[in-house]
Amino acid sequence: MWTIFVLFKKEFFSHLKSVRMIILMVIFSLLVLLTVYGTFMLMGMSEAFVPPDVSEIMIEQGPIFILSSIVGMIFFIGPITALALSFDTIVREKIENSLHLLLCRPISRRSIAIGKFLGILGALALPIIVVNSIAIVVIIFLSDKGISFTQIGGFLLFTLIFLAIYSAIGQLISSSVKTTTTSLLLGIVIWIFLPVIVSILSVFLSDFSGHIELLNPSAPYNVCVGHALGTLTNEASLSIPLWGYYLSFILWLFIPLIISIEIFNRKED
Amino acid sequence: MLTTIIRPTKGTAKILGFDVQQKSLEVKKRIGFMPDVPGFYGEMKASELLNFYADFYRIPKIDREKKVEDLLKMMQLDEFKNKKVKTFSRGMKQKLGFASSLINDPEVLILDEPTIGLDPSTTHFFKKSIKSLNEKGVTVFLSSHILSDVQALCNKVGIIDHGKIIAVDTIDSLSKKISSTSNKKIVVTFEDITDKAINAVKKIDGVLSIKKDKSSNKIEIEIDSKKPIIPKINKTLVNNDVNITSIETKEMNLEDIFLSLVGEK
Repeated sequence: MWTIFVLFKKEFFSHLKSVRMIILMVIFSLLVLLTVYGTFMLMGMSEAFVPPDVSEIMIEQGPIFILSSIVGMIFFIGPITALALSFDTIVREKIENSLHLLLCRPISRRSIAIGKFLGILGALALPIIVVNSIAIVVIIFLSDKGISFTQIGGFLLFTLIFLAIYSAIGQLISSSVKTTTTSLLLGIVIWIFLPVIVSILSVFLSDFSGHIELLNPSAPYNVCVGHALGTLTNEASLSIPLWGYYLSFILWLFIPLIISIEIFNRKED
Repeated sequence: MLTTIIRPTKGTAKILGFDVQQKSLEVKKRIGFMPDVPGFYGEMKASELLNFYADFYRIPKIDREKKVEDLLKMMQLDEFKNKKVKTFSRGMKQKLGFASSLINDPEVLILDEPTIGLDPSTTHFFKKSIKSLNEKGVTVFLSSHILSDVQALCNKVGIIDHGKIIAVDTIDSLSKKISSTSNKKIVVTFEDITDKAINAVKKIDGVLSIKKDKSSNKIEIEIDSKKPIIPKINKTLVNNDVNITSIETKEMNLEDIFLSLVGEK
């Protein structure tokens, strides 16, 4: 455990101080700010701009509607943020030869993989929790409706799991390839094509569309976070039982993570 | 494999009684390793990097900081302790790699080509440091293609050819073993020599070849070690009016041993 913590600490601070992280977090913060501002603007607009039914939902849900808008933004920016931090976590060490000096320390290969994953996740979690917490405080301050800690906690927890899934996928790619370019390209391909492929499969296999949508981690994230925020009013409308989405969400995290740990453990570097 | 970085396909190896596969963490706690080209996290400062590696061994903070200071001083890197490693030269990186291999006071130090690509003064520094560590009781396991370094540093050598160990012994023992079974070289220094004298020596039974060094008054004669013909060579040269300054048996160096075991290519 100690050695995992040592590596976690190093990875966490290295990522936090990296230019890549700063750029990603500036973009993320701006997008959160724009989403909050944009949604408030929409809420204040007349019926000429916003259809009455949408306006009704906006006003009724208040801050929850704004958080749901942030979730919509995280669908897009979350995966690329996590992949951008994790795509070269292992492969760069191999290329730069720093892995040998790490492997000869009293730490197992599995612990290295876990420490690296936790370091990325920690580095992602800190600014994302801070940015989203500030956004939530602003939303509560500007809105006349409240929001419970369970809802905030659920939103943050599921968002972090969603980012952890893509961090694990990024680490899996990084453990499997030989160059950072291949790793980067594969990361981009997964980010762009995973939702597209799942949508195409859903069209061709419409009878199983409920199951097929689980092949994209965004679907269980959407349902789980919706459940936490209370926007998922009609569970019966879901194609599969709610627990199926939760299970799929957890599996999406652990399967790539375990595979990436095992690949790194078995490879000779 | 001994550093536990690569797994063996078959067979076993033990360091200080610990199997490198079964007890790899125990081995790692007790060894220090420096690869031929040590790679670092370039964004980290030298002292940060050594502190990071030291952290794995759970060295208490006060001891760790002192250890890092001492190592940086020993490696003449103390004035660069707050510089990012990516700004370091090849020699400085090699020294930092050496420092990182000593952070846990290893009982066994494994060095892979420690002096390759280094300038003469850094090479000298490394050789001096390795000798000093060995004198303090650290077992140094060194792999190198620079045989002069190996000869200068090692008590015992192992020669590997095509992935197989073909000899393990002290240099003296190997030299004796090879000398008794192979040819010997003698070096004759003189004031002047004629072709006639050289031809007379060539005719002696047991003389295998003669090399004349044009730039100095020396000839190198390869003889069959089983035939005691050195007095005969001496007599032949004297009879041919050669004023001999000295006759010496050329000691086998590691390169000669290596070539006689592996064969010239």
